[in-house]
Amino acid sequence: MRLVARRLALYLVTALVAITVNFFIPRLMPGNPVEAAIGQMRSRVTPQTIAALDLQYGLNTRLSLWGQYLHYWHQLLHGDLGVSFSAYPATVASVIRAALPWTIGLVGTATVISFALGTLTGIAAAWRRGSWLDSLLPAMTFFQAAPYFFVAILAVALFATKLGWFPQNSGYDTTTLNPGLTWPFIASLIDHAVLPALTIVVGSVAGWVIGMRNMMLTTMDEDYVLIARAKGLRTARVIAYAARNAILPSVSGFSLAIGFVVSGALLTEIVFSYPGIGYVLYQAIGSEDYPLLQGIFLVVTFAVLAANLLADFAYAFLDPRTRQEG
Amino acid sequence: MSTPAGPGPGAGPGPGAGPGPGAGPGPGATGDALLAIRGLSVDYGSGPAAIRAVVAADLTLHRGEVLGLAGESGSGKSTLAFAIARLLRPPAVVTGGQVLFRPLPGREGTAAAGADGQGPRDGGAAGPVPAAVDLLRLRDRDLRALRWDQLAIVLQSAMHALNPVMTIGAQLTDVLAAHRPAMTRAARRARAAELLELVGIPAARLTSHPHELSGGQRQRVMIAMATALRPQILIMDEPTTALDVVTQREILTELVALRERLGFAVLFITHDLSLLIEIADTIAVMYAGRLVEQAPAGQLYRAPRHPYTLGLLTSFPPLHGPRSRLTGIGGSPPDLRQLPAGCVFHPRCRFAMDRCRTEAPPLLPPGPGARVAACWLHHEGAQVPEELRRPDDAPTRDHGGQVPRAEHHGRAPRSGTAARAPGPVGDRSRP
Repeated sequence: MRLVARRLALYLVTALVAITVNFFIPRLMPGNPVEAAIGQMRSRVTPQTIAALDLQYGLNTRLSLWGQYLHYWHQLLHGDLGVSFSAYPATVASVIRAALPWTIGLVGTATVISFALGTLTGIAAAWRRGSWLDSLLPAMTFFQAAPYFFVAILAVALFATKLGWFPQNSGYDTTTLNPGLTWPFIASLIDHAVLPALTIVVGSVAGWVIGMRNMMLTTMDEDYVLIARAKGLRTARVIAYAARNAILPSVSGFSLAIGFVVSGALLTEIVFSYPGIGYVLYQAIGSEDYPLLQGIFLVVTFAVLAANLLADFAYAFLDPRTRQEG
Repeated sequence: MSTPAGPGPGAGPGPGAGPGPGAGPGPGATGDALLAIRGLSVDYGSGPAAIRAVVAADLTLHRGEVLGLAGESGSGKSTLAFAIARLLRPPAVVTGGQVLFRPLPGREGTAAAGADGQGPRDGGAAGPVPAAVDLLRLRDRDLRALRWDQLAIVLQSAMHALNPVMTIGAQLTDVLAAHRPAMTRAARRARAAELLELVGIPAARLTSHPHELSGGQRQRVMIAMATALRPQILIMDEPTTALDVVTQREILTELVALRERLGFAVLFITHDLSLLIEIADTIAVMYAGRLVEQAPAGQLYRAPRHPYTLGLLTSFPPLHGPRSRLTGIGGSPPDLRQLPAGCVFHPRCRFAMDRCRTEAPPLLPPGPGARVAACWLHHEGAQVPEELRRPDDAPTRDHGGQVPRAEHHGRAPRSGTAARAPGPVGDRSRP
């Protein structure tokens, strides 16, 4: 598979560049991050900590920039992303590791639901063009076009605060439950995820519907769909003939959306105080937690790259024409 | 021997659903009529702005026959074909008429179609002659069962007719799975391989995708697919137009050979009249949505009765015989939104009379014999020009020396004609 090798090489180069950029960005910032960091740490700032921070940032070391770069790589390869200031003494890696499952669980599930629901609705809307499904489109588009935070805050105000159907914040009932594979915890987990997930789905489903519907309408005019009908195939099969081709752009869109899952639905997690990456990122910005920011950027970059790679392979799998070496 | 059954459809012209006297076209014997189209009209759009793409078409396809449908682009020939198969998409609407299909009663009873190689059909019910069904009024489920099993279609561009993301094998086997549920997966696969080999493509190609095949190979795959269920009717819409002349010739030879084995009837649509003269038994000529002439291929070629047919015939050069001037047809095809009054062809007709400008001519026999034309010249009081008066068995004086094979009942392409690559008539038809 020469194609696979070539693709992988391309992504490897991209990853190297991203990691390098991630190394230089803090060094291009004005001021001394260590001073900013110490300002953040209100307790237990020992000389050792300062020395460690200095070392970590390459300040007051005699290492050249190249040496620092190599050191950065050395740390990275050992999974060491440094120490978080705001969550000191927790490491960046552990903070990210704690937040990641929440984001993937909530935003990932919501993205998958939105994609599946939107794509199926798009297929149905195209097949039954002019039916009641088409009249839903303006409403869906409204929710996508409306500022997300506004819709989300309204949803919290209405469904959580006023009607009390859903909890207002957090990922689970932190006052009475401990995380674990227990039924009450899982029930609480779902209970807390429904409203944020709903706002994500409502806010993004229109894009999938419209994209799929339009592609469907285009492919339904193709001769091979006509032939599928002429062949006397069942309606579901005829739809599959068209949908299999129409879904290609949506699939690449979906792969990219998966990549951005990791960065979290920033606004969702802020509005719902959901303990995911987006919320951590928000806090890290507020508290100038540079190591954490750097770590999150790195993770997000890798996630997007991985999703792109996935999109490439999914596309090659679904569309045989792209398998040819161009 | 099959006898006409059902309410009248097989026996001669149906009740004229459209304007004008619905004269029964085609050779007198209608007992072997497989598909009888009666007064079929198709509009694009509705209301006063509707475009009448096909107007009251009467056409009969007999068992084992190759019926050619010729006409310029926009003459409604493809619309007519898609209407027959009920494959029209909005805004096209069938506004009237019938498409009567009489399924095969087990095996063929006519001598005209050499039925060797036609085994007992796995799907066809043996027994008494089934009644004719009107395809336009068939329920969806029945229509789906009938499609491809009895009536298959080959389109102009096989690149677009094959699903680009599915393998050839998947596209061949799914039609078997839909219509022959008793077949096992392995049997379907074997049958698909056999079908490919039949059109000269190695079975290994089953795992290929359409883009990995050449244009000619794709069209062969389409033909293999079309014959997969041994349909009785094959509608071919410009099947060779997108191919070069050598490939065209190969595909046509293949088609003729297959028809000999399987005995299906073909409705062959093309703008290339010279091609039809070689392969068709009967030719119908369409102009502006109307059938203007229909005759056995040889007669139509040697002795056209309609000025438009004459124009088409003088638009391409004969390969043999004395040189003749290519005159073509003056003017351009009419705008279907603003058709001239009377005969729609009169503005381009060099024989036009006063009557042609006011009254539309009916499709009637211009004389004795099994042929029809829609032209006032053949009615009393008109002076028939010499070009349109030749006897049906006239020697082929100035259309070249080739003998159209249609007058022979052997189905194989004649070696004499096989050497001639059909030239596109469209190139020269307009000055």
